[in-house]
Order: sequence, then C-alpha cells, then structure tokens
Amino acid sequence: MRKLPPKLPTPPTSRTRSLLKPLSLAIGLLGASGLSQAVDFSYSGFGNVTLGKVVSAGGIDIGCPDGAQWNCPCLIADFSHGSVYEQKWSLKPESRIGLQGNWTFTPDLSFTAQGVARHAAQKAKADLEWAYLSYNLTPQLTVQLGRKRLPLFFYSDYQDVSYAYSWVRVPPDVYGWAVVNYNGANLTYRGDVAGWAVKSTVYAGSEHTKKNPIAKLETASPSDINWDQMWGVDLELNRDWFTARLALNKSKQQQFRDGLQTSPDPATGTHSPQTFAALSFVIDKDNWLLRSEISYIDRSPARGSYRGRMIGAGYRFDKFTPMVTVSQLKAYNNAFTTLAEKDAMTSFSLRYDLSDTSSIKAQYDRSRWDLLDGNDVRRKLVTLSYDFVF
Amino acid sequence: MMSNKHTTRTTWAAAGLCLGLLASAAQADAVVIVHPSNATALDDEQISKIFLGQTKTFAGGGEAVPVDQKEGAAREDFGNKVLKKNQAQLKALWARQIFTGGAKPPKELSGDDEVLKFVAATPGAIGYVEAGKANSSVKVVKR
Repeated sequence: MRKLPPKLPTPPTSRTRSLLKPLSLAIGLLGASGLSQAVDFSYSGFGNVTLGKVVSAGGIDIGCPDGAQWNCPCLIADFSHGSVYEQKWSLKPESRIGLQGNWTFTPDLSFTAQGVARHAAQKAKADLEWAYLSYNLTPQLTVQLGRKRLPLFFYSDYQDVSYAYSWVRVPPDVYGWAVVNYNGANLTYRGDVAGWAVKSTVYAGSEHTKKNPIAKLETASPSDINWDQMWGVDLELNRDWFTARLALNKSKQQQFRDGLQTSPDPATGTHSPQTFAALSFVIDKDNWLLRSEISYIDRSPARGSYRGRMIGAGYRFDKFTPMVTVSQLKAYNNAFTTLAEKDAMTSFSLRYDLSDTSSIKAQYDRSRWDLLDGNDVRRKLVTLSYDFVF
Repeated sequence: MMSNKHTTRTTWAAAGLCLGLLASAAQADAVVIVHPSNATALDDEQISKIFLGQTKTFAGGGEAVPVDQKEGAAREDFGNKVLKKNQAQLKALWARQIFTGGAKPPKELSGDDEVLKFVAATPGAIGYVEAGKANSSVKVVKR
C-alpha cells in the first residue's frame, strides 16, 4: 500500500446518464424550433492498440496495485482508469477507441458527444467522456454546457488521444488523479493579443464517480469519489514555436467506501478542500521538442499534498521522433511539511509517423517509487503502440 | 512533409527516407488568396493563427473564413511554408482541438478551382491555390 492514499479517479455513471436528459431536451427543443432541418452531422474518432509488459521488477511489494486482483509485480500505466501491466504481454490495460459525433445546428451552435471504450481496470466498458452544447457568443467567446474532460494539466483533456502526442502515454505518476471529467459550464476566449495566440477558459461544475478505478487499485471494495463546488481557470499563450499554459483548479472532495465516508474524517465535515495548479512550457522549434510541466497539489488537511514535475526533450528526424522524458511526483503527508514518497519515471520513447493519420510508438519506462525508509519499488515496462485518428 | 530547408538539414539522419518527400515538395508553389475587397495586410504569423483556429478575425476586425484543400501538393506546400508544420504535425494539432471541444478546422474543398470560387464569392474568405491558378477574381496576399 502506498503511504499516502493515492490520487483518486472517475467512472462516469448514472450522473452521466442524468446529464443527457437536459441535453436531449435542449436538442429536442432546437429540433422543434425548426433548426433540425439544418443540422449537419459529422463524426470522427481516435484509438490505439497498445501492447505492454513489465520486463523487470525489484524492491518490495507494497500492495498497490492490489495483489489479490492483479498478478504482481505490476506497473500502473494510468491511475485514473486503473490500467495495470503485469509480467505478461497484454493489450488490455491501455488499448482504447473513441468515437465522437458533432451536430451543428447553426454556424455558432453545436452539440458534441464522445464515447470511449476500453478494457482498463480488468473490465470492458464504454464511457461517455464528453457531451456538451457549444455556442459562440462572439468570434472570440464560446460558452459550453455539459460534460467535459477536466483540464487539470497540459495533456489531461486529450490524454486518451495518444496520436496527438509523442509518447505512448502521459507520465502516469504526475497525471494520475481520481477525477477526469466534470459536468458544468465553461467560457472560453480565443484570440490574438499583441501577436500572441491567447486561449483562456473559466469553468465550474462537479463530478460524482462510482466504483472509482483509482480506489480499485488498493482494494476491490468499491469507492465512490466526488469532487464538488469545482471551478477552474487556465491560460494558454502561443507564439510560433513557444507555448505556455497556466492552470488552476479548486474543488471540495469526499470519498465513500461501502457507504461510509472515508475522507474527510466525518468528524471534520462532509467535504475537504483541494487545489491543483500547473505551469507548462512547450517548445517546438527547428525539429527540437521540449515538453515541461510543474504541478502543485494541496489537499491538506484531509489528504496528502504533492509536487510534480516533468521534462521531456526530443528531435524530429523526418518521420521519427525519439524523446527522453523524466517525471517525478513528491508526496507529502500534509501541507508540504513531511516528504513521504518520491515517485520517478524515466521514459525513452520513439514515434514513427506511419501516415498523416496514424503512428507507431515504442517506449521503455523505468519507474521507481522511493518510500524514503530504505525501501523502494522498481519496475521496467516495455510498450508498443499503434495510434490512429479518423 | 518537411520543408526543403528542413529536409536538407535532416537528410543525413533520415537515411534516404526523404527522397520521395523532396520530389513532391518541389512540385508545389502555393499562394495565399483573399476576397478582392479585403484590404488587410497579412503576414505568415497572422495567416497561421487564422488557419490553426487561434483567431477567427483579421487584424482589422472582420471575421475570417479560412478554407483548406482536402489534399494535394498545394496543401503540403502551404503547410510547410506558411504554417511551418508537416501534415502529421497538423493532424496531431487538430486532433487535440477536435477531441477537446476546441477550435474547429477550416472547411475543406477539393482543389484550386473550388477554392478560387469560394474565395471570390465570400468577403471574409482566405485560402490558397497553386500559384499559376490565381486569377483576377481573387487577391493574392502572399506568394
């Protein structure tokens, strides 16, 4: 078991279905108003077939992931969805396919829904990841209402679309948190300010998850995790080869197991606060690539706090893009006072652009969880992936 | 597809993989066109922002309607020279936008003739065609 309650994830459920009712109603009303005659439908999708295996394991077994459910030693490739590789080749942990439909009612009003099917956490399932109405108030301002992925960090909201980045996956220790969606509203500004391409979003909402996959990594007994009163803001600046992004998210969390509140301590209240902040820099110049991010997560006093960092460098040799990436998550017991664990990963990845819509990747990861008491957990993972969009 | 400049710089490492790319890149010479009534001065950076969905307006404030070509040498040449990205890079950039509720990619038309017709008929339009195809129905803003 990790010293800290790790970060906790999300399975969309009845909340998702209930969200669809008002959206369906809205679409129905649009249809009734005559707009349905002009509805333009399009679809697109993405997917990846990913094969992986833990090729080396050392250190101690801390029971995360749970040895009763997985044949460990194992490596967790995606905390949020419960993706775990064992010491045998498997396609199941990370392979997935996403299908997106877009209904355009007018040039400024549209509805988008995206479902993703996967076999993470040892169970095949299809989740509704996105379902939102989008309306352009002006050429610069767009308001959206519905269900979306949560943009905590630079790659968070498109980490399922592995074709869109160079690695097989985003660094798992830094990107593995309990909740990956929210139901609510957002307002986005997109425009040119003094030569910079500026994109900024403010959003608010909540997410309730049942049988959360992150909690399943610790025990088969299901946990429900809720993030309420959530709001966030991000700002992304781009100019030619340089991109910077700053993001902030605040919410109040609660966790239940077998119907009993396990976090925060019920004696202290029903919810506890948490703050996520991240700063990213991306450079893509003359075929050189640099991807970096630092993150700060304060979940005190109810839960642990964390500092994350990631930096990757690569070079594009025509269709080949090799990269070396180092990531680290430092876990603290409380309010950054006592360091409890250091999780680090070094990744060597190679992407080859097979066509304009597909790529193949190979990646070798070395992971080490340093428990700071003389013990550690060491894993090496090899993965091969075929990624595509359509 | 790499630009000639980049291809030259990386040929030693690409070990001959670029030969086919060099051949096709050399065939195209795209020019950027707008409606004749559009008096906005445009540089590569501004054109890129419009075609990458980073802004929906011209510097003067008018709404921009970018139009892409579905495929072909002009599309690759425009991507390499003006957007400074190969087709795989562009696809990856748009994948992020399309699947996260971001900007929508420009409308795509089949070939120079369709783009010429669209730009000539649409005041806010901006597109690109093979250099020899541009005519007096449109205004060339970037060669």
